[in-house]
Amino acid sequence: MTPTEQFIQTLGSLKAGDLGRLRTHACLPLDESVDGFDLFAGLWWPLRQKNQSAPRREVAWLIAKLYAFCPVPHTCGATLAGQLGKLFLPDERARNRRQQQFDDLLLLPLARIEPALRSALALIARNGNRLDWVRLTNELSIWEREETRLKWSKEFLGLAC
Amino acid sequence: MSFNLLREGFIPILRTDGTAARVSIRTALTQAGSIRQIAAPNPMDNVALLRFLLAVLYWCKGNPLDQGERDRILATGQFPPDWFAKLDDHEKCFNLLGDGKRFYQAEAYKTRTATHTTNYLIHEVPSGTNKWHFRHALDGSDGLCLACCAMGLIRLPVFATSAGKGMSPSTGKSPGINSKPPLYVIPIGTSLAATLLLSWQTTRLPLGSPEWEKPCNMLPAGVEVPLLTGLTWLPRSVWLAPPEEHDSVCASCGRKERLIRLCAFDGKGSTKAGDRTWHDPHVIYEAPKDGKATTVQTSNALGASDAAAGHWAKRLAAILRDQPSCGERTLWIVGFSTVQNDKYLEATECLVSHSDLPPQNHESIAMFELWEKEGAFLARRIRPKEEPSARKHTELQPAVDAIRPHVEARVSRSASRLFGGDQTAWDQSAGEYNPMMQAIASLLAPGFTTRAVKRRNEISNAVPNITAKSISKPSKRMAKKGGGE
Repeated sequence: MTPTEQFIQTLGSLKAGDLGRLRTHACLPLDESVDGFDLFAGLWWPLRQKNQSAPRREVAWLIAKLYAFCPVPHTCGATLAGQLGKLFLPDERARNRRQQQFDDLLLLPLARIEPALRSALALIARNGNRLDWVRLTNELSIWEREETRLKWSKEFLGLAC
Repeated sequence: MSFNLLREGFIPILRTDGTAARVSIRTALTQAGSIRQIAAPNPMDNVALLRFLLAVLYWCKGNPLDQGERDRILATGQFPPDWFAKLDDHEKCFNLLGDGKRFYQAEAYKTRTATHTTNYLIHEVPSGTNKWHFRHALDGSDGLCLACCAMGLIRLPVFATSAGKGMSPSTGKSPGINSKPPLYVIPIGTSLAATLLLSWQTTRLPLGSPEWEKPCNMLPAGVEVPLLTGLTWLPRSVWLAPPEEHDSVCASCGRKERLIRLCAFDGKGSTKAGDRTWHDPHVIYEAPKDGKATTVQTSNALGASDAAAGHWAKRLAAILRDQPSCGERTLWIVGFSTVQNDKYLEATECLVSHSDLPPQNHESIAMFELWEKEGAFLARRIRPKEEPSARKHTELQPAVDAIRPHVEARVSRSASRLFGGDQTAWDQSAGEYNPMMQAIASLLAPGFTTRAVKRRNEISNAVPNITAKSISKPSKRMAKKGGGE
């Protein structure tokens, strides 16, 4: 099992109270409160100690908050971009709007991407879909690379990567 | 000094054994079987000399013989020397110099002062106000050797263009009999003899007389122009000044010989066709528009933003429509493009081989024509659907024009596989655009957003659409305006 898979498994085993505490830290940095810091440190630090290739702190904190906000079941291969691209929309205008919103998400830096990802997750959850959290975590770890965002665009459009 | 073209070697040739030489008219004809081809550096000279030798052949022997005699000539590879006895009887017609009759020169201009440079005879040497060139020359200082003068005179019937009054307010510079030089399409064989035999066909036209025998100042009006008159009519009046006493470097061939620097050079005034008819054996005529057939001409590649990349398809369609099928053949196509009539741009040549093409294959012809149109309108097809105006996307046309010469050159090199109209071959040809369209797509739609990816896909997938269905139903946009370059 990779460190990222272990991290996601750990998130999946969190109790309702811990998830609630994480939800109160939406869009906040890690060092905003001692409570949040302690909770996250308990999740992430043991993994990081064992393996340096565990997700880096900023990404792990982001994923933890997103999971707490919307704990969509994990499924391999169900990428966020692909799931969004497959959502049914009745007319051309709505599809264009959705595409523009996705393009706006792609243009955001990692530090400001949380609100957009929350909206995306809400859409996926509302439509009863699942998500590959491991892949999301790994790709957010290399978000600065253009290839990552290009891959998301192609997945959204349903093109071969 | 004398220089008789029947004896002096001035025609550059390549023999079948690979050796090069310069030969006289008589040698070129009597040894035509052992000559691979005429081998001047400029295709214009090659065409002009070939047509000249063909005219000599018609003049000496008239219409061709029966097939048996032709087969014997092909088997032996030689024209019988006694065929050209007429040359001996008219040797004086081929004198380049001298006081009497001169080859392709107007005796009426003998007493005129020679004030024009002989460089006017060779298009690629700059002269007068024609400064488009790839070498430097000075009027009056540079000149031509006798051989190049002869070749320049032989070019006149084939490649002279019209121009303004200029040097000759009373006469003006008239074009040749074909007006703006058309594309010349000549079937070629494996030797000069074979090539001449392919063009030496029985003609329904009266033979008439060539210029070297009976100079004809103006073309006859209201009649069908005889063959020899049409092949050799001179649109310029020329009289060469005497050559210099010392040797200098020729501005055309570079050999060090006695040069002629000046000549009398004049036009012949307007030669509008009126009701005169002329059917050139080496020219493709297109369907009559407004009752008058037009010739196929070469495009101005230097003036076209895509270097007239798609012209080869239009040219092939015209050839396929015009040429009857007669087994495996190689066609030699030579064009000469000009702008503003007297600005000489370039001479081009290419070879087209095809075998056993069914005559008048209409579908194949239509596909070539459609290919040319589809290529010309490719930039229009990649305009964003939500912004179809060309004014908003001026970057598209130059981007497509930049890649078309490369792609069209690749497709035209294997054009023979397209003759049969096989859909797979056309699809493969269209696919030649894919790599370059992908390159354009990356250029025109950079980035990683879905909008950029989608736009890149639209551009990458735009290729000419050549199917039987698209022939019968051309796109509405193409139907609105005239297509082509």
